Amino acid sequence: MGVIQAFKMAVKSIASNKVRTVLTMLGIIIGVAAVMVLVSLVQGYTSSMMEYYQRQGANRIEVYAYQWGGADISSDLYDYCLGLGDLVLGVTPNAQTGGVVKYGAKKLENANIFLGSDQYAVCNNYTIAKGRDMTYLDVKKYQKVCVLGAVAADDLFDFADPIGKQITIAGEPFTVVGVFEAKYPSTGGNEEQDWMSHYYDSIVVVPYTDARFMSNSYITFDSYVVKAASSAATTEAVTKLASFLSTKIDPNKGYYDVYSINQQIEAGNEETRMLSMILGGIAGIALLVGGIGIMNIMLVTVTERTREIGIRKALGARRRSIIIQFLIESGVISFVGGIIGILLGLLITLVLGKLMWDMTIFPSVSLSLGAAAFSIVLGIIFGIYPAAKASGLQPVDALRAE
Amino acid sequence: MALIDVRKVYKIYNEGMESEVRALDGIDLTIEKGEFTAIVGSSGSGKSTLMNILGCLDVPTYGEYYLAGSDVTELSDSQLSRIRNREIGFIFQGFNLIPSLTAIENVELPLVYRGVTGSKRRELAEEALAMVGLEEREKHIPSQMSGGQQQRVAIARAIAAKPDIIMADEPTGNLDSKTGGQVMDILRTLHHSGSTVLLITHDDSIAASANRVIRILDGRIVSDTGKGVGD
Repeated sequence: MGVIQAFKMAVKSIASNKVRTVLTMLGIIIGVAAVMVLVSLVQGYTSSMMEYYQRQGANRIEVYAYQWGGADISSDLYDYCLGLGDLVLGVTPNAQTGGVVKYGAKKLENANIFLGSDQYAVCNNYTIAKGRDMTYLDVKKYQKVCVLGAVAADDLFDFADPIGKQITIAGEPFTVVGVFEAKYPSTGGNEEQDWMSHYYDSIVVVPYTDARFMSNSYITFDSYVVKAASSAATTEAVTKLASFLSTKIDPNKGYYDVYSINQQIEAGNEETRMLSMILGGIAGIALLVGGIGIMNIMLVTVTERTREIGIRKALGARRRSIIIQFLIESGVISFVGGIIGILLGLLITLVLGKLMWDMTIFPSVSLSLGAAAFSIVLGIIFGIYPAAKASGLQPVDALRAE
Repeated sequence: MALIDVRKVYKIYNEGMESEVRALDGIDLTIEKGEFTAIVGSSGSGKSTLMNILGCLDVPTYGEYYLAGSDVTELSDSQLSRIRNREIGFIFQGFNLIPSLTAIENVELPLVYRGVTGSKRRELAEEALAMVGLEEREKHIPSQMSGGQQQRVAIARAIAAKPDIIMADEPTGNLDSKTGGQVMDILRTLHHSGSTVLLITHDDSIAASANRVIRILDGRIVSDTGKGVGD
């Protein structure tokens, strides 16, 4: 019997045993798709978290320092950081206030107004798209200048050039000297994206020393961002800043905290590792259950097939022909199941990624193929095992199977 | 040289144990080409065991079996498959059709294993189905046919590859007397056209169709009407 004939026979057998075929495929499909989806979810979560940290910028140190009735430490901290030399790339207060921003008839009702140093952009991972950044002298000399976020600029100026224009912030006139590159380019996407775009790009940054002009709103300087030069420098700077702050803040009257994004990433990684292990475990169980399903259905049909094998042998089938037929049969079922499983896993992953993080997540190729290979091998082994066993019997014994 | 030559054949289950069963207890038998032989015995007499060994579906515990001169007990599994495929056509009491295949596909099976392909195979299968009067039922699967029709498909399958020997184990056992009669008519026709027919039955009236009747009891031949090739 030729391979083509064996193939035809296998296809005929698959088509005429639809329930068995579907049940076997189902085991493989569920196993493969579950592994792909669960692992992809971890991936999606990780990359959405990493993306967040990347926008924040690496080696970012957040400093919180407050003391009842204490003096503003902003300029002390600024000078201390300058003294750290190469360790630190920049330092800025991270104070925020609200207020109406106006240009002619155009208004931003709830723009985020940040009061920062000339290093605000470096510390918060902004780059200048147009015009210039704030300078040391702007800060020192209480210059009424500002830099706009991309969304704020577009909203106020309708895509016209804002550089050199006068706007009013909380009633005070300021000159626009620069515009930042958008951090979250709006793609007209979902709510979360709109919010991010508003939060990070609908901003106005003014020298923190200008707080004196904005006496109508209450501004506290208790939060700072320090940008370190490297990951090693981050660790060192965190230690140094903490000991510096301990000399400045009386623990009975105030509070300070220094922590780096790197530490957060570390903690996030740990969380992701745990999540991977838990979901990976669940995926493994799904694969195992799928595998047991494949085994079950293959073994349940053994008796029925043993008799069939007896008939075939009585009619002159050689052992080899029977094993080849069953090998092709279970191979085709397993492969088709594996491919459907991969496609289903891919589809669910893409849909979930879009719904949960608005990201296009692709499942890991090696993992998908691994899960598919596992199911396919299992399907083939348990597909030919009964055939190999029954084809070794005397035909009369195989025929006796009820 | 006899077509079938069986010498001192034993089939013993659980040999040496208390539960030892001698299904065949020293059978000597020769059957010539072209004979129509009935092996008659009651249930448990060993007649089916004998047919299974003669049909190479089973192997004897002891003894020699020469089929057309070659010693079957020496043959490999694939050589035995070749004999079952080319030399022997089986008709079983329980039909033993493959339920998922149509009538014509069932009839084609031995031809498939013989390596006959394409239109030649279809032609032989159609010819065999026409011989049993089932050309109209080609595309039916076994469950869509009556017992008599299924048995005729099984006969068509047995004769499609034109084997020298037809072996039928209680071929009328599951059929009413009318359809049973039709099946016997087909076997007689096959005999007339030159086939060697071996019929296993417990029913003396069925055995009466044969030219030679061998009676078997407790695994031994107790009577043999002797050879007779003609009518």
